[in-house]
Amino acid sequence: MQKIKDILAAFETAYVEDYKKIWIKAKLIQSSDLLAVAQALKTEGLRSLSTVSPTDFIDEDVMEMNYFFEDLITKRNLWLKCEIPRERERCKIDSLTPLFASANWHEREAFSMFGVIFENHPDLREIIVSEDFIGKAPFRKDFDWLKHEEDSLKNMQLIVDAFKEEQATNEVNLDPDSSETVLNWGPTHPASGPIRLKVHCDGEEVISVDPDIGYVWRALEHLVTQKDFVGAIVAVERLCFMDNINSMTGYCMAVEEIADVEITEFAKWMRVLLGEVARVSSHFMGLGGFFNNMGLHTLGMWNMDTREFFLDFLESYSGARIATAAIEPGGVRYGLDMSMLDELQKAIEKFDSDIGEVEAIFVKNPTMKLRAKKVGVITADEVLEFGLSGIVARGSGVKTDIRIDEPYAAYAQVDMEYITRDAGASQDRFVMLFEDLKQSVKIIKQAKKHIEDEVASGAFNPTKDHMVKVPKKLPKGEAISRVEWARGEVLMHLVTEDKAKSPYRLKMRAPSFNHTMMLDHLLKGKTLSDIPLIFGSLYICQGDLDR
Amino acid sequence: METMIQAFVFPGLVYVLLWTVLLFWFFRKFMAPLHKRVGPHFNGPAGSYQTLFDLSKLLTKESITPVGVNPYLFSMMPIIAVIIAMLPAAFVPWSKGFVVVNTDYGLLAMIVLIGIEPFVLFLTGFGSNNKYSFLGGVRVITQSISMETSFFMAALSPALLFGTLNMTTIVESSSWLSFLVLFPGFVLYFIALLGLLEQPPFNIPDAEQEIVYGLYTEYSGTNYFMLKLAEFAEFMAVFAGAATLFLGAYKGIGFDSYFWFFMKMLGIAIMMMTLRAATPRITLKQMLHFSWHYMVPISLVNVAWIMLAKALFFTGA
Amino acid sequence: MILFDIINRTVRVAKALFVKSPAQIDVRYESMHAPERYRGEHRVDYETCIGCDACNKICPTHAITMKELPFKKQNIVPEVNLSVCIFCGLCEDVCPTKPEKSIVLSGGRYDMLSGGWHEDQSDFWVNVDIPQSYIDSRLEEEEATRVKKELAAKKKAAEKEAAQKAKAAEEAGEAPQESKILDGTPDFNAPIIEEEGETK
Repeated sequence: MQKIKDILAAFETAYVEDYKKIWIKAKLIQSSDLLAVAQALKTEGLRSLSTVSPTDFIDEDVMEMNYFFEDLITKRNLWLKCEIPRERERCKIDSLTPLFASANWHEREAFSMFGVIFENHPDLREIIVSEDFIGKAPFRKDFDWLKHEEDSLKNMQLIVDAFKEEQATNEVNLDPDSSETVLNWGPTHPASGPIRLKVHCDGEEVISVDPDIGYVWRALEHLVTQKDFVGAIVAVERLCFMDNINSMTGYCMAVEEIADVEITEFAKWMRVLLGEVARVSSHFMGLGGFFNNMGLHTLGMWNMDTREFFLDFLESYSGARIATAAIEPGGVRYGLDMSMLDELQKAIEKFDSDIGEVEAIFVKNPTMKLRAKKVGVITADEVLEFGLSGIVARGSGVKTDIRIDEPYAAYAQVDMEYITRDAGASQDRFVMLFEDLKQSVKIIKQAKKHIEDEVASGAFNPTKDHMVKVPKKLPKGEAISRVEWARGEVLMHLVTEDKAKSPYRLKMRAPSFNHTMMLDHLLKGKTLSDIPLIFGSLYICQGDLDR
Repeated sequence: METMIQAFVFPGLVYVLLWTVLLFWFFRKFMAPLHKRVGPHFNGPAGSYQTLFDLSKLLTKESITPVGVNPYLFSMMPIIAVIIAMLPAAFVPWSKGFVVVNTDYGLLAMIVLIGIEPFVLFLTGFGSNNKYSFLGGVRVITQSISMETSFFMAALSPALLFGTLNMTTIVESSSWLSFLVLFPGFVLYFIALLGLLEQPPFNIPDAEQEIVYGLYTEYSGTNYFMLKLAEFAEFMAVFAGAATLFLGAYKGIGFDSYFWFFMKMLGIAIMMMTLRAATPRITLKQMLHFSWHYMVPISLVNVAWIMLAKALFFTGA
Repeated sequence: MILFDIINRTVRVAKALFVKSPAQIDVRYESMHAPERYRGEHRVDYETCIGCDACNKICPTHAITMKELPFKKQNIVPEVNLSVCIFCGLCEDVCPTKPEKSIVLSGGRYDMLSGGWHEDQSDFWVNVDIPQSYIDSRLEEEEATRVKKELAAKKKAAEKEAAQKAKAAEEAGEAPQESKILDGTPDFNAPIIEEEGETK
């Protein structure tokens, strides 16, 4: 960490301070210094850029840029800020894409949502919001949503015409003598979900892939600013509804840090228990989805059978099976009735009895190995360069798991370890998913036993200890929190104004964003049959891709 | 009059329709417990009316013809496909003494008719104005050419053993010994059957996750019903071929009748379904590699084995 | 060899044929799992509702509309639009009524919209039907309290006037009069005041 401070000492900074155990927070005064700082950091070893997030301070007439640099190997992280003017023409800053490949789409998103212009970016187009979005930069504080709706309804025909024109020019730009064509592996496709991949292919061979996202855009980051701190959990949980608990945990941790509130031990263990149950539920679907893309639906169906038992537990605890809204700032929302843990026990027993067959039939399936052993190979260097996380990173041999690196809730007391695979092919990611699932069930067993023991000895009171009071109005401040979500690393950056009743800005960094960025790189030269396979193995969820 | 009944009732149009309805229901109901599901449940006892409702729904839907298709290829090919698929049923001995066309070249005619079918399907894919259908059509041709080679050789091995192409004679001369000798041929025929009928692990032209629905993409309503009918008539022809050539058509324990024929066809369907529930799909290149590097050489070795067995066990027969 | 591997897997999958399916209950008519915290259809208790508007303010999707009642106080009750509601349960959490909350989702019906044709948006609302007898009884209560308040106010005003008069008389030096009887009976000992300017 000292080396990072040395690097920053060479530039003009407003402050450099330690933030939590493995972060340094710093603010640059000159925004033109950014490129030089980034170069020095990259040489030092911080090779991943997690995300780029602007905050629009309209009262001070300034746009504050936040950069999050991470070193996944030695666990040193830097949160760098700098300010740029807010007017549309002067809102410019150097692009980091030539140095950090993972900055590509994040800068495009900052451009689309806030209108920040990045100089020297190789391909600065809009992303998520389409090019015909009327009235640019929707997340600025002076964007008029009602006027935008009126304009859209009036100009609907313009939007349709623009789309037809784009489709017509698809083929015009291609060489008429070759057999290259553009295929829309598109939103109305049985295996894709709501995402469109523009595939340039020559017969069956893929030449390049250009993902087009934004079909599930709900502007969650804006919705959160319209609700109060407790009501915002229904927006945060819809990042991806299958693993909704861990994203709510991240948001609540940030709120609790700003309000300076410490939650009880019981609430921490409950967050661990619920988070792992949600992770198990999401992994079951991911395992089934991988095989579905190869035409075999049996695994998906068998997993649904076991998953229902875990969802029964979530339903008994919170009242809903999937969108539970069970974590609130201050702890967990409901008290625990010990008879609910019996349902969890039934689920664990069903899991233990079925998992042997699943492993023998599907994880060790010879035809799957034929298909998936050599495609979609990601090396450890690419993981660091593109900022991948979660299962995808661990499948290529990089030891990174936020539950161990930066423990939150009660993970510091949980007995777990890094599980990695070395080869980085699609098959390894599938096996990694399976191993992660088994580890999650082990953690569930530990958490359940701990809670039962403590309740029996009287240290926890399950009906009263679940929530601490958090004030309705928070002071001015900002906080970041990272959680290990089912699909990767979710980083939440929360900014509040003084005596605020709702968040001023919440940035949710989605792991699927970085994973989809890699598709072009992975699919060059492969065949059409490999598209659903690689797409499925990267464990992408369109919900958090678009937010 | 006799011909009319044979053409339209048994083994003609009505028989094929009934067979389609039954087999479709059987596929769905049998796959369901393998998936730990229930399958069709609400309409009729154990959901047996479900297929009837589904097929009649298809007949009443609108057949949409997209702009820019070739009208002859798009609309006429499904009808031709149905007719070609129903023809092999005329050569199969369905029960003792009953065969519609008893010729000395029955086996050859049946195999040729089964083999023409994929070309007709390719033309339907080619005629739709859609990149996905075209890709599906190309895949059908590639797969059929590769798999048919070993299919032909495996199907002709009983003819080599018994020295005749007449289906009735083959059935008459089959016995337990001939079944054992023909067993490798039967295995080869079964694997080639999977390739020809586009069933997993060879369901490449029909790959829903990759190319939407292959060559069936643009079809809806009555057109689609025709293509599905052609597909199931193909099933019937190939299963009947398997039962006749290797399993001794209507011969059974105790009495000889059509009932045993039907049971044998269902047995092959069960094997196919169980394999379907346990195997994912492979890619086109891997299928080509498998077919030309493994299936065809093994088929040739099988032919040599048949010759040897004929010399050893069947001299004088 | 790969062929034997595939056959092995197939046989293991086929064992699932002999396992009893978990799908035994027809969920159109009964639910398979009905815990008591299940967030189902809302039930509004208009008698205990105090009209604080907290549920309306916290609803994230604005699914709650307050229905006006012809009372002076506690005159709004919530009505919910089921096609907008996301069943998060925050309205139930924030309701301040004790011991039972006035808007309850826990343990509600799960088959809210099944059966029949729904051609009208009104099928999707949870309406609060208040019987006329309740409205009448509440109006009577309000009337009674209003009358009581008026009388009490008059009494206080009259007391104040009398106290003022007594003070004025004291300042003028006259002997303090006997305390008058103030319940309305006429004072038979008071002097007869003759009207001036009448008898000349």
